[in-house]
Amino acid sequence: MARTKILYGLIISAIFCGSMVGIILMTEFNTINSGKNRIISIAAACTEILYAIEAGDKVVGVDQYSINYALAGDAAFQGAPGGLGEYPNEIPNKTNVGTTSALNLELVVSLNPSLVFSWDWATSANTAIENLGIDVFKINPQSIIDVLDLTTTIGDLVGEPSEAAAVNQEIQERINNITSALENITEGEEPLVYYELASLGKTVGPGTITDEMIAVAGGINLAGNESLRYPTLSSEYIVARNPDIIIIVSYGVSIDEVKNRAGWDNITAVKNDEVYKIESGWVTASPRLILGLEQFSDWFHPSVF
Amino acid sequence: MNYLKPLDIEKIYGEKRRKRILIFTILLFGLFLSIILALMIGPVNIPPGTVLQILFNIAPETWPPGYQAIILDIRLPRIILGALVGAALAVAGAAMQAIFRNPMASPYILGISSGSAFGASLAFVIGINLLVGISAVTIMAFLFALITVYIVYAIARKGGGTSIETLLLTGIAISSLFSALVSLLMYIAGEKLSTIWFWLMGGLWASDWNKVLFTFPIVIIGIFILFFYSRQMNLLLMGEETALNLGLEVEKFKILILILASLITAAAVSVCGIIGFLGLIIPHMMRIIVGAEHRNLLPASCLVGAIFLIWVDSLARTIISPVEVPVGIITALLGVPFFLYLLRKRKKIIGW
Repeated sequence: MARTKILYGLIISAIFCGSMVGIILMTEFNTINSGKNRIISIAAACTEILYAIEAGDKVVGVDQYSINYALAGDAAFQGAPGGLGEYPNEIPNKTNVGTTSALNLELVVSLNPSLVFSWDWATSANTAIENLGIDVFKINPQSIIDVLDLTTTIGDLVGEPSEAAAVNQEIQERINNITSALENITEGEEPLVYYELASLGKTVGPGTITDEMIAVAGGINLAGNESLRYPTLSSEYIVARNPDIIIIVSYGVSIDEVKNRAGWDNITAVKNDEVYKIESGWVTASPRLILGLEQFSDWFHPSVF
Repeated sequence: MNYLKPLDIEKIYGEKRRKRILIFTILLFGLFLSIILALMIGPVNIPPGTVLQILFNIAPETWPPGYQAIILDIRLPRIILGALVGAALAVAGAAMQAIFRNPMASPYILGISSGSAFGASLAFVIGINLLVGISAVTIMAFLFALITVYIVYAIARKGGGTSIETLLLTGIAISSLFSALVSLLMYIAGEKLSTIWFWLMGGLWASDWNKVLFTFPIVIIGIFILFFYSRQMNLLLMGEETALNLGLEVEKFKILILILASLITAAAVSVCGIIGFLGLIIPHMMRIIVGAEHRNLLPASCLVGAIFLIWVDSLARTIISPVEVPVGIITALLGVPFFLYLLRKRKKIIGW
């Protein structure tokens, strides 16, 4: 069976060649010389924290989402803590390395980073970067206190601990202003809030930072007791619950579209013209959440603020 | 009379062999050239001379730090993985089409794509972390691809044999089931949704040497064994009964080919997600160009599949750089018009 022998020969040599090529190329791998303080952030929350603590000049590359937030314009950053005001002007000049779901590894390497900030759940991107010998710091902020802790940690990592402390202090003071003003609000005075994401019924459930923000600002999240973090509710259920306030995220549908939905004219929020749009960057895990909190409390309790 | 003159078999076969050798020499050279040229393309602009210097380790090292990593640890594994995946899907497609004797057959016909998509999504959602070097997503996708094929085969098997129709319908049913489960996972995925979505579209951006080492042996061995059975696939084209009468153990043979094709498809899908259309279209293109004889069809599909995916992926990583386009989108966008053109132009029916 000459043919079988040839076949086995081919198979064995194929495996051998493959392994050899792999091993040779792997051993030739050189770790990249790490320059000091060259940071890539593919987690928008980290990008904003880095700017807030005045470490924006150390950022050499960012992801698409960091840039998208900057494109919202100056108004979305007005009154933000720390150095965040510079964000929308400076971020578009940084190298865009793609998104965590399809990262441009070449650009990451070419920027010669000393550290990459990334989301904990972006496993493919994190593995790919780490396989190239680059350190990845993974974040997963789920609450307001997480954002404050993260700011402290990042401050220590990039050598700006005092700036981080100042930013945290400012945020804490502004939160205290809200909570002390709401001290005398009773349970019956808290409005029921429906917060809509990209489409009808898509909302935020328990365990999300938006849910916590609604509570801190003195409101009740309509989906606060659902079993999913991002549930989709039916239209009739929302009408039946009759929210006092409707908030739509900036990338969601228009206010007019919500008001014109069949049956929604019976909802208190629509009757009282309390349908609002909020900048999506104000309700994420970044120092700008304080802007979201202040806006929420202003809408929920106009008599107090 | 002319047509009664005895044919010079030796001469005819000699010509065929020469033609075959010529085609494969050209294709092999094309593959080699594609690999070298694709190495020079990328969002980071590295001069071709430097690329060759780095590739063949020629001094002096005048390039900036990082170039070596870009060429040897990002571009090269990605291109090799692209070639392996392209070859695997094209050969698996040709083999599935031979087994099912159906032009609609693709590597995903037994539900491998949905099965591995479920495995990968599960890994994303639960957030399983590394086993050893290779990503958990790859392992899960590979395992669930094989589990799916096993379930389909176990259900379709009845008595001593499996009918093609039952296999096909079971494949579709199981595939729908896993698709539904993937949708369910996407619904509860939260912020990981876009990661799953990108995986479903297929892409080679996260290629590394570990993935090459994982895919290489499975794909190369699988493809060579399939090559080895080209003649038997030719027999099968004449119908199962004829093949049986000519001495082929049809049932055993079918299972063997199904296992091999599934194995190489699973290895391909698990490292780069679901790259659609390539496995369906390349074998058809090659059938139009080199004919239905499997000794030509399989190697031609293999090499053209590899070359095609290398170039499509080069486009995917540069077309709207720095953001990547999922490669599955481009395979369809480029492949479909060319395929339809060939389909209209072909002169004879390519028989089943």
